[in-house]
Amino acid sequence: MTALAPLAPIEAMLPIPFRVISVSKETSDTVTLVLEAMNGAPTRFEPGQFMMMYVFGVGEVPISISGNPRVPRTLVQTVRAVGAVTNAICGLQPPDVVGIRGPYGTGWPLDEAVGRDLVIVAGGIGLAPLRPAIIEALARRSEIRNLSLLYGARTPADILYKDDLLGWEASSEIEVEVTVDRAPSDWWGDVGVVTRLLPRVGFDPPLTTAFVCGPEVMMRVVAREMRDVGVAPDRIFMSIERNMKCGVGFCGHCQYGSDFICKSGPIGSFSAFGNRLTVDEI
Amino acid sequence: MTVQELKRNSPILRGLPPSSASFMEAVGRETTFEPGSLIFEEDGPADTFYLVASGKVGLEISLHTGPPALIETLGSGDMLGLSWLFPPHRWSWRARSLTHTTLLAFDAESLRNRCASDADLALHMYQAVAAEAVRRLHATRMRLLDIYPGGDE
Repeated sequence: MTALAPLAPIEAMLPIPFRVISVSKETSDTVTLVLEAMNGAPTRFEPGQFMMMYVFGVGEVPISISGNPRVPRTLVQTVRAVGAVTNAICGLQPPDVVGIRGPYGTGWPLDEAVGRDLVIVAGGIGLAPLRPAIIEALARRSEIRNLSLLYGARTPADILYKDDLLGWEASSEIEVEVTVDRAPSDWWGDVGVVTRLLPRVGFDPPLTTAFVCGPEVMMRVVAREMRDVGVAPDRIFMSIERNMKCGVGFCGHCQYGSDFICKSGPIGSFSAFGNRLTVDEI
Repeated sequence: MTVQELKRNSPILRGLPPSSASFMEAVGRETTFEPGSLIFEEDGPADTFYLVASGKVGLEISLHTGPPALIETLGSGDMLGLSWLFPPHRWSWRARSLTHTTLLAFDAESLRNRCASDADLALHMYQAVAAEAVRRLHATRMRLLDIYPGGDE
């Protein structure tokens, strides 16, 4: 995928009005919004990039893009209610209007998976920024060897994109394994940590690229296990979340050691970010 | 995987000296369970060492106040149960097949007796079971962190 031209600073700070077209409830606290730019402009992005979403009069938060990168007419964002702004976003209904800036940040480097096995590991809401990468990987399926998705969630009720997962599971294009940390007695899927699923899927470590997104503690455990079986650290990519505010590397809210995550991230390799993953309060 | 593939690929069976490998080959037997079948009961005698060839096994514990809690699931290639190697040789959990499941089963008493006289096999077994116990301890600690609900604006 061609890299997008960076936004000019003033343009980058200006929210564009987007109208909510539809809202679907993923879990008890998570919704997926489909939005359209009111000026009719397409929203082009790379899988893994994020938008700044502004609820007028409430505040602005960074939200990863979850839609199909080949369908720029709409913007799809999955949001979990964890604070004032995201609670307001989760309460939006058509035809409410929000302000959108972006897209910002680095994307999942799908070109790094060409001719190789691609293992995608997601935890919890971390499946949302990976969904466009999965869609794009499926669109470029002939360029990738084995393709697999390992997904861990807290409980079966917390699993996102159930219809997508069922569809992907039913296809022969991608190997899908899902596990939960806790399950009721009527759950007949897997129970246990997501790393337990790694031996179940086919990949040749020296010829593997991995995309990992979830809680940071989960990402570093997954990255280490993949490194320990022979996947090169510079082929393991993860999404680092910090408190992005301006989105263009001016304000410094998202400083992560020597990087501003809104520009150097959110996607980076284990070799680039790995030594900072155990630094307290970074 | 098939039982033959399991015998070739399982870390606990691979790399054994020939005499130990012959013993394991002789005492291992294939056994199958239908979905929902009880494989062993909590606090029952840990008299068998199992490897999962195919299917899915759930480790459960009775809560008395409702249906049993599903602690963990095991799949192809996993060891089922570690208690057979350590006194008092009783299962800590209940194991139930969640799907049609094929296991490779070894009589625990024969295996323990053989380990008492076959140092190579004993070292191999204890190393493999200890590695699995460490892996499960790490996984349990990860789950205790309850990492998924987090997140702030």
